[in-house]
Amino acid sequence: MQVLADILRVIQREGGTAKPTHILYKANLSHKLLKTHLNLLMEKGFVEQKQYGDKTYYSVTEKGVAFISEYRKIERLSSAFGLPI
Amino acid sequence: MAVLIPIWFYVFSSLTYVLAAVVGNLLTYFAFKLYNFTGKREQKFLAYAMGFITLGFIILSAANVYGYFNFQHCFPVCQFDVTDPNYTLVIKAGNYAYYFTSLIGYILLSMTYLKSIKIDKFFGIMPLNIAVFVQTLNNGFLYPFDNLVFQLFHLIAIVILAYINFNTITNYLVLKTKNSFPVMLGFLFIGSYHFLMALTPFKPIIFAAAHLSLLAGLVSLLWMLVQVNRRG
Repeated sequence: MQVLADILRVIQREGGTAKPTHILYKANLSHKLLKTHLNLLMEKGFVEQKQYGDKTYYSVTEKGVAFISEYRKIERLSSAFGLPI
Repeated sequence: MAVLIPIWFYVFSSLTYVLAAVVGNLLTYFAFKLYNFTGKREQKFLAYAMGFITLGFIILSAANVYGYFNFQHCFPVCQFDVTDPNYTLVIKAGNYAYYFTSLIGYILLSMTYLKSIKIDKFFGIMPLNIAVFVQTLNNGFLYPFDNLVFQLFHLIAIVILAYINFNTITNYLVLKTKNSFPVMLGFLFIGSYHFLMALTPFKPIIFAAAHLSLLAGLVSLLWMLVQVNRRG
């Protein structure tokens, strides 16, 4: 869950759309893991793949933005009690 | 010794319990939301702990509201066993149920910070807990209410809350976040509420001070919920 939220936050920080190489670098993940997580995020409808020429980009959907907001609240509540998330 | 309750404060203490039930419901809702999100055992303990503590306050507030509207004056202070039988019965049952559910809640909350205990083991001893409760309740109705259970409850609560306070203070000192501060403050005030309640047989004003402390604890926890749920 933490990794998924991290990936979404990286994309959001890049302005809502990011190249997989940028996500890979900033989320500190292996290529294989990133692919698995991005597929999961697309399955859940949190990100969508976009093609600009021969380059692939990933964008956060509205559902993804709502998830990040909800996750942030969950993180705050958990840390308020000193519990791991 | 009797628990000394100033008559003028009766409405305020009842309202404090109602507020505690409302804040408790909010905390339970968000704690279960947290648990559904993560599925972790710590969050499970937290959610059930909040649920039991809230249930205790719902019962206590219902008994107190009933008591307030059926109050028979006794001067200069009110003792539980000098009013009409129904009043005594409702207040007693309400208080015993509150002690029982609150202690379960506090024990579960302390287990949140204990790494190796699973919730199933706790509920495994529930039949024993219920048997002890029924026996205590039975004794409470058979014999005059001598406040032994009342003080025992608050003393046990102080001990458990000392452990919870230790963890919330440590958490605040480590994280120093806006959200961990009201949680630390909230449980410190709730701890002092139990401490002052244990001293109520000595002076009626302590009863009022205890409830002000509970109120401060509830406001702190409400403040935390507002901070947590802010946008951004």
